[in-house]
Amino acid sequence: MTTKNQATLRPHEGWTGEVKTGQVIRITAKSMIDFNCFDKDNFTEYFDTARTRIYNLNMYPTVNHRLFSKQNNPMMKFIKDGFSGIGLHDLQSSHGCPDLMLKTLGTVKKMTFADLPDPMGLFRNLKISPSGQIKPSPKGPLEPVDIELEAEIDLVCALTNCPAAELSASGADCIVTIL
Amino acid sequence: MSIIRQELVNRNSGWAAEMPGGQTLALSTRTIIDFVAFDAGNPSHALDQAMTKENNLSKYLREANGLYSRSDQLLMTFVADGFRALRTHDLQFGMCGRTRHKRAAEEGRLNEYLQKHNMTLPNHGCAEHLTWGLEDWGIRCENIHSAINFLQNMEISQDDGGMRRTQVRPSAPVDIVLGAEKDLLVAFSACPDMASKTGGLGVGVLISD
Repeated sequence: MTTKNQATLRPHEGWTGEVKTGQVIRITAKSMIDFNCFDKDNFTEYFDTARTRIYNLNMYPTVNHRLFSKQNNPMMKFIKDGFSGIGLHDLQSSHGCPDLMLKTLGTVKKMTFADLPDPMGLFRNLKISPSGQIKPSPKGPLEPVDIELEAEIDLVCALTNCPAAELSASGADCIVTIL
Repeated sequence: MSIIRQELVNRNSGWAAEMPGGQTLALSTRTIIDFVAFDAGNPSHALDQAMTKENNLSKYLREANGLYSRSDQLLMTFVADGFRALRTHDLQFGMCGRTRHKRAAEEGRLNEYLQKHNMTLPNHGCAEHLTWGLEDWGIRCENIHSAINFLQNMEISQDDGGMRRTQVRPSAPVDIVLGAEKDLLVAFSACPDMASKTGGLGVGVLISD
């Protein structure tokens, strides 16, 4: 794979950019990352946490899962999960850094908190008890690991490096690479 | 208590109404109800699964819990749960609908979702019921957030997060009672509930103050 673009995000910085069909976004990180994506040509077609859980019949996104839109169309394939075996990604929560995500997305689409879709919370390890109680359980890898998602349609992706102390392993730089 | 509105909503259909803050909505049924709510003054403030789970620190909705908008406004309180003794409600699935059923059929996965291999696919489900029901308020499909699925019980693996719908339903109608914390637009779908043994059934609605 050839590198098309690369950016480094310090904690509390965001990134947005296009990821074309067949391209891969690699997110190299160890602390909490909130991730959203949208159809490049139609922002009403957005990544939806519930549709994604239904399709995969699973609460925790990981390798071999697909990310689905509100309209029930495939958006991305989860092709590499360096966090597997260490902790779990999250599809239960709202944004950790909504203002940062709105500012980040604002360069391509003006949105409000009320219409900002819920994110996939990468590295946001939650402890969920059998009775359903949810408790943050920050757990990061010792060193940054790779998450890779392959676009199934032309997308605008957005992410925030959002290491809130009570929710995330300690903050570290995140490298975003488009392949 | 005085009755403001009372009706029976047909199986496999939708319903929507405005209700002022302070009033109570009671839904009585044996099958799944996909329920959504909006701030009547600003429908962009819509009930949100994630914010509701986050504020209640639970993946299940229980009595005394709040129902919250994505913008973190308290919209309703769960006053009484007639399903409590049987099982839990669902905050994981979104809604059934034409596109969901079609994709499952194309992928040969109907049995995973609906516990049936061969069936005639409905041309509408909860997504369509809610979309049609909310048309009069100008709310588009993409702005209808994922519903609270009352009486939809899920088995969720503690090991790997895998989810499976159960066929647990009450043998007689039970009441779900919700209190409006502000002026609201509320809507629900009487789900076709194709995963159950009975299929979808009607829903009794009672708004009171």
